[in-house]
Amino acid sequence: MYGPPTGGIGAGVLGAGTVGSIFAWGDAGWLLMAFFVLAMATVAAMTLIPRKRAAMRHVGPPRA
Amino acid sequence: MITVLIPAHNEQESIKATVESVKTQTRPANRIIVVTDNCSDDTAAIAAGAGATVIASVGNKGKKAGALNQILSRILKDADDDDIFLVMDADGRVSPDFLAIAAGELADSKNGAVGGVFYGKPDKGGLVEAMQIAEYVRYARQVVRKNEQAYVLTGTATAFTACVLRAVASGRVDGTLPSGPGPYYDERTMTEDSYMTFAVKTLGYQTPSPARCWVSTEVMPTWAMLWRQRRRWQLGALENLRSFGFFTKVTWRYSFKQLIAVCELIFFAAYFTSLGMSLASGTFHVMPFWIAIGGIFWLERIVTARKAGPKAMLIASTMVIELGYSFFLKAVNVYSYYQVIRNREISWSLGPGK
Repeated sequence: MYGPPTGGIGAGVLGAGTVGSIFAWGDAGWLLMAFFVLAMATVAAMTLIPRKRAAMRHVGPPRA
Repeated sequence: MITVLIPAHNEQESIKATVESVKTQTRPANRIIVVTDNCSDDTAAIAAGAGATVIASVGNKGKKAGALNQILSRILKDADDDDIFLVMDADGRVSPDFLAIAAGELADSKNGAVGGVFYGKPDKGGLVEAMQIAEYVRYARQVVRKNEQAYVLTGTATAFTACVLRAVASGRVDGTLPSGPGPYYDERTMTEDSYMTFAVKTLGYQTPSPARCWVSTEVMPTWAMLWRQRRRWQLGALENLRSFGFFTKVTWRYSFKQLIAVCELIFFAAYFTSLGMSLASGTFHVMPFWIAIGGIFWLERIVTARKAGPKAMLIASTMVIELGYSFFLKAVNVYSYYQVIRNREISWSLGPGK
């Protein structure tokens, strides 16, 4: 069996936005990091939007 | 005609429940074959008692892939092209209408295989198990939201048509697919299911994974076992990407995910390094904008774990545990990349395809 390569969308940057002081605007490295975090946050936000309700009803672990 | 193939190596604890889950299908299978592979326990007797046909592998050194190759070589020659073969793990349990739905999907010739959406078996209480169960629920949610297309045709349960299995075998001979030992499943790859996924997709088929085709599977009970499992998955994925080519029309998405994972690693490290530096230098201060961005991730973790139950949501809400689990998975990736660079573990064994 093989699963997704990462622990889930946004997992790697979970919490990265909680400390803004690390971003020294104007520095290319931090700008790149900020861009990445924002892109991942957008993806994370999109996963919160309800979609395909009929199929989604069946998502969930089987009961014992 | 529907045939269920269950390769089993010392699965006496779970094989009965597995066979029972197949026997109670709304669309019954015509044959249930348990392929006992180098068993030293009572798997064969229990499987036979549960009503399955038991066939032992002979001199198999190719593990699960080898056992499947032996049985497929034996029975596929008599199959019609539209006959269905459900290949499932001996510790899995499929949903009651798995076969009915899979058969419906496979009636469409553009679908080459139907993969199950897998879940961890009910929580036994440990944190490592709870984290995997939540992870699987998130993955299932992701699959269903993406038009119910399988990211990977999971080894826990996937149904193929005979013609697709034959096409894979042909592709492995004529160079359309990477070659290696074994006619159908590659016996050298560490993750035969990811190989099969790339193979079926490379042949131009779609791989649906309907939400109602679920399969429950064992989760790793210890961190050490989880480490080994994920290391194998990661190395197997890299191995298969390399053999199929990193940037084909099928594999580029998988390669892109690997790239994103590397970026996450780099930024993850940069984040904590800079956090430590800012705390040490006394320049740390909080900015509301980035607090809000962090809040999105926090909310995403909680909402996507919802179907795993209140416990999973509670764990997600702490953030710290999720971060620790994420660290763990990333550490596996780092170690796997290190091994690839050192070329120690990964076999890079498959010959290149066209």
